[in-house]
Amino acid sequence: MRRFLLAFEVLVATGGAACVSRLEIPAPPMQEETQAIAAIYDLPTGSFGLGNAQSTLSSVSAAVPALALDWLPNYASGLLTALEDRIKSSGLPDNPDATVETHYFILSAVIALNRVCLGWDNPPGPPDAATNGSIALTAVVENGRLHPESWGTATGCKLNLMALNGATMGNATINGTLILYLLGPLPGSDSQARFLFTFDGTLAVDNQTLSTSIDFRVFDGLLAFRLPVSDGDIIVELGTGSSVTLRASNGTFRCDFSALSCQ
Amino acid sequence: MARVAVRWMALGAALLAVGSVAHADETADGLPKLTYRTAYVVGRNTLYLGLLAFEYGFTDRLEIGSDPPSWAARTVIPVLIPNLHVMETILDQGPVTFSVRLAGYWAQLQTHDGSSGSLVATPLSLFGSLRLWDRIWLHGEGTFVYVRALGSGDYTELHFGGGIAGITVQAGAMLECRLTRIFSLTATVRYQVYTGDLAFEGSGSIDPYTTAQVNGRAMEVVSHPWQAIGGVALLWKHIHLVLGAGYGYYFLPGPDIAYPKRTIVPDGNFAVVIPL
Repeated sequence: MRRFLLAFEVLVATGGAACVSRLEIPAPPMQEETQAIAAIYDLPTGSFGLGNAQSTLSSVSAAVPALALDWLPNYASGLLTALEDRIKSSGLPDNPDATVETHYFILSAVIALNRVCLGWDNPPGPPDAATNGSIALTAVVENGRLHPESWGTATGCKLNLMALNGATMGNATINGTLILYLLGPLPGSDSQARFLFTFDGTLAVDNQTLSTSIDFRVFDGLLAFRLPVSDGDIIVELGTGSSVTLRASNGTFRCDFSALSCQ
Repeated sequence: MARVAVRWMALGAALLAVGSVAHADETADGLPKLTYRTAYVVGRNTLYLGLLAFEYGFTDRLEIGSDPPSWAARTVIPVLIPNLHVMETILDQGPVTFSVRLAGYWAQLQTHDGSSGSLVATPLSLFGSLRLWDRIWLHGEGTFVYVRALGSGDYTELHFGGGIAGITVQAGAMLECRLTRIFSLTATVRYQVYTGDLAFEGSGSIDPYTTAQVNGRAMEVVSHPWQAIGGVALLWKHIHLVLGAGYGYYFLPGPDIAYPKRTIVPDGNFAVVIPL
């Protein structure tokens, strides 16, 4: 009888611990602001006139380098594919737009992803978080539905861009908060990625600060960013070569950088 | 009323007087005991080979066993479920018997993509059997089931067709009416009084640079599953056969995890009883 009492005490103790350690679901930050930005990408607020084509395209040219679009979108979608890997292997929903799959029970979860950055030297051996910096990302599944917003912090994240994508020279440093807002399911590869990226902090390449606050959208390989104009924001979609598409509240315009003209 | 009281006292006195010399698997007046979901154990040096449980009685009060269906689950779902249970009679006084049963089920999940997880279920049950009348018993049961999942595996594959449990508390009762020495009619009800969330957690590496930690909970859609079953029990000396059918939610025998879909509920067990 004594052994049963002992077993019961152990059971109650562990069961009691499980009862009190309830899952705390953190609230994603800046939800309203992020949704408002995502809405602007769908319905631009600013207008565009063909007479302003030259000045607008000059502004586009000036804005592009600060966005680090040659490497940052792929790095961001890489975070999402890592998240997809973990979420799928845990049987959790990977699409914020999907109907809730209950499987007769409803899942909620907090997924904490930590990525040690490549570093500038990328030495052999295990990556060193203290030297290279890291990115901590949080995603949430609540009542059977993946929240579209994943968020996190980059702390002294050092990246050798040549090691990262094999095409861009320089050493980058990221410090700040980032939000990845899903516009589709979590991507299994970069080409499937659909998300809005926002960043507040310091983004520097070779000790030159590029920007402190940026956002861009990746949708099936198409890159877009907001460009402020006098009456709101227009959306710039980068095409192949020198082509660019400007979406404004008064229409969509196809432009050519080299000719500095739109139609 | 007075005759009823006299019969009660006479029965109690008889049971108290001869209880110490009766076999554990029989009542004092020689009726075979129903051991399926009751407070009665199989008896000393007795092997009970049932479809739902293999048991061995070390003494007239203590038995140990394992559930073959949980081992066999491997053939239909990608999990291996080693399990063990121990049951001990804590009170056997006259018409009243109480026993405690502790079981442990460890489900090891292995998925096609290499992720792994495990789920531990430990039902702790208190069984009470009361001989109300010469041939009528009331069997009661209270069960506390603690389930904990660990790892990063796909828990949708651990749901036994849909059901998964965290902490649950269940109550059951069975009325047994013995029509002949070996033949009984039974009426059983079971109700899940409390359903807690299932907590799960896991961590792992995605690549040399990336680690991820998952903390989660699963909530059952059906909070209070129940079942009502009518059946028969045939208790021959070496063969025990229980058959029944009812309606409600099916409780997986052993771990007592409810299948969360209301349906026709089958009940049954076939066992060979071998005194050694």
